[in-house]
Amino acid sequence: MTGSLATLDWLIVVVYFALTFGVAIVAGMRERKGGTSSTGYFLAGRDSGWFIIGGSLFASNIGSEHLVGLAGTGAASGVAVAQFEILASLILLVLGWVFVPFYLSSGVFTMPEFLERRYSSGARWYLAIISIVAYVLTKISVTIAAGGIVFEALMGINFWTGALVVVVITGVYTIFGGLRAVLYTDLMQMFVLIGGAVTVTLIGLSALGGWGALTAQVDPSFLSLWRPMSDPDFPWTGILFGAPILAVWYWCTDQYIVQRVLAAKDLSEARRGTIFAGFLKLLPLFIFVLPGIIAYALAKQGRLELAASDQALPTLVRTLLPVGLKGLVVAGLLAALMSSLSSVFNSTSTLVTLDVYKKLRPQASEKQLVWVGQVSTGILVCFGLAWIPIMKLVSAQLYQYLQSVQAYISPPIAAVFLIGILWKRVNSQGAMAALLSGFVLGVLRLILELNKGSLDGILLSYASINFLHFAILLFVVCSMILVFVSLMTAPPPEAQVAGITFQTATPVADGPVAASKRGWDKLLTVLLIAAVGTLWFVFR
Amino acid sequence: MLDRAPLDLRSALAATFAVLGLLVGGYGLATRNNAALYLPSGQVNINLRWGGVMLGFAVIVRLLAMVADRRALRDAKPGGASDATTGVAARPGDP
Repeated sequence: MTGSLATLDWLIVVVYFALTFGVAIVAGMRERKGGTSSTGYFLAGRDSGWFIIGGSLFASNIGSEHLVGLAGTGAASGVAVAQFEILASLILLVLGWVFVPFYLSSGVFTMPEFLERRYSSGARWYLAIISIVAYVLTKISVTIAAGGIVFEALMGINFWTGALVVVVITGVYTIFGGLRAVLYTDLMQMFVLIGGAVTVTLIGLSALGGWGALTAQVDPSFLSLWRPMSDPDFPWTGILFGAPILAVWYWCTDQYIVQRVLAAKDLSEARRGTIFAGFLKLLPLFIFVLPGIIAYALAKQGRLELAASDQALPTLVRTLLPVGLKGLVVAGLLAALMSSLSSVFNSTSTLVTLDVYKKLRPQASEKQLVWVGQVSTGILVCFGLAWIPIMKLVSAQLYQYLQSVQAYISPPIAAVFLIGILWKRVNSQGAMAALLSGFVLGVLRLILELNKGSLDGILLSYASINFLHFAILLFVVCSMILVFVSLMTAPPPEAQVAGITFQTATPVADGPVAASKRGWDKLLTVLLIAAVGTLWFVFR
Repeated sequence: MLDRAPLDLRSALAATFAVLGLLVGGYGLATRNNAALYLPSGQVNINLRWGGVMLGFAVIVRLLAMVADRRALRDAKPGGASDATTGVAARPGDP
C-alpha cells in the first residue's frame, strides 16, 4: 500500500486536514467574539440546530477502528454485527423522547450533574470519576491505538509518527474552539466519512457484479441479522435484551454522546437531532459491514487475497481504488479518527472542569472555568501522546479487555438513570448501593475473565457468560438492589425529584411552531421504527 | 437546520467538497486514457465520476447556503417573519 499512496492521495489528505483545521479555528474565533463563558465553551452557546447535533452524534460515535472492525466482522461472520448499529437507531429515539426533555429542563451541563440533581453529590462524584478514568484509560487510548493500527495497515506508514500529528492538531482545535469547533468539524467529517464509505461499497459491489452476485457467493446465514441463542458473539437474546442496556448507557447517559444534545437551542432541535442520528445509524449496515462481506466474496472469487478478516477494508481499498479516490477514503478514515478524538477530549475536559474543579471551587469565574477546560484538554492531549509508546507495548488481548471494561460497569449506570427518571420513589441510598455493587460485580467479572484458565465451576460460568447476557444479569441485579434499598429507606424529598421524573414533570405548553415540529418528529419517529423493522425482516 | 451563526457551515462544506471534487475529478480527466489505472474498477473512470458527484454536491450545498442567506436577510428586514416561540422553558443551569 505504501507505494500506491501517491502524491495526489497525500495532497487530498493534507487539503482535507487544512480545511478542517481552518473551519475549527474560525468557529472558535467567532465564538470568542461573543465573550468567554462556560456555556459557550462547553455547550457551544446552547444554540445548535438538529443537523449539526445529529451529524456530530454520528461522527463522534464512528471511529476509524469502528470502520475496520465492522468490515472485518462482516467478512468473518456476516451482517449480524450490524445489530448494534441498527439498535442504536431505536435507542437514539429513547434519548430524544425520554431522556432529553429532563436533561434540558434541568439545565445541567453534564451527566454526573444530573445524577446529583436526581440523587446525591455522592452519585455525581462516582459517575464523574468513573467516566474520567474510563475515558483516559479506554476511550483516548483505544481511539489512538486503533487509529494507529488502521493507518499502518492502510497507508503502510509508521502511524505512531502520524498519530502525533493527528493528536496534536485535533487537540489544538479542541482547546481553542471548545464544543463549537468539535461540532462543526464533526459535521464536515460526517460527510467525508460517509462519502468515503459509500465510495468503497459501490465500487466493491460493482466489481463483484452486483447484489445478485453477492448473495450467490455467500452463505445465506451471512445475510441474517438473527443468530441462535447459543451463538458466541451475537445471540438473539443478548441482542434483544442485553445490547439495549449497554446502548442506553452509551447513547443516553454517557457524557461523550449526550453533551452534543445538551448543546441544542431547544427541545425540538435536540429531539430532531437524535432522530436524524437514528436515520444515519441505519447506514453502517450498508456502508461499513457490507464492504467486509464484499471483500469476502471477492476473495472467494479469487479476485483478491484476504489474509485476515480485519484486513477486509484495507485490502478492498488497496485493490480496487485508484490513486485519487484512495486519498479520499483515507481522508474519511482520518475524519473518523479526528471526530472521535476531539469529542473525547472535549467531554473529558468538561467533566474535569465542571464536575471536579467547579465542585471544589464553586466561586470560580466563567473565565477561570474556560481556562481550566482548556488546560485540562491540553493535559489530556499530553496523556494521548504518552499513550502512543505505551500502546505499542500492550498486548492485543489486554487492549481488547480495556475496551470491554465499560461494558461491565455500564449496566448499573443505565439502571440508576432509567429507573430514576421513570420512578420518583428510588432514592440516593438505593442509587449508591446499585452503583457500588454493580461496580464490584463488573470488576470481579473482568478479573475472573483475565484468569479464566485457572477457574472451574460457578466462577468459570461467571467469567464465561456472553457479555450481552452478563449485561442483562447485571442490570437486573442492580435494578433490584436500587428498588429494594430505596424501599427500605426514606423516599427522596419532593424538591429532589421536582421536574426530573415522569411523575413530577411539569408539562410545558407547545407554541404553534413547536407543536408542528413535534408532529413532524412523531412522523419521522414512526418512519425510523418502520425502517428498522423492515431491515430486521429483510435480513431475517 | 444548519446554524447560520457564528459560521455558515454550508459554505465551508461547499468549499471543501469543491476542492476535493476538483482534485479527484481533475485527475480523472487527466488520466481518462489510462486504461491500466482503472482496470481494477472495471475500466470505469471512477475518479472522474466521483469528482463530478462531489462538485455537484458542493454546488447544491452552496445554493442552499445562498437561499438561507437571502431568507435570513428578508426576515431581518422590518416586517419580516420572526422566530416563533418553541415553548421550551428557560434553562435554570445557564449562568
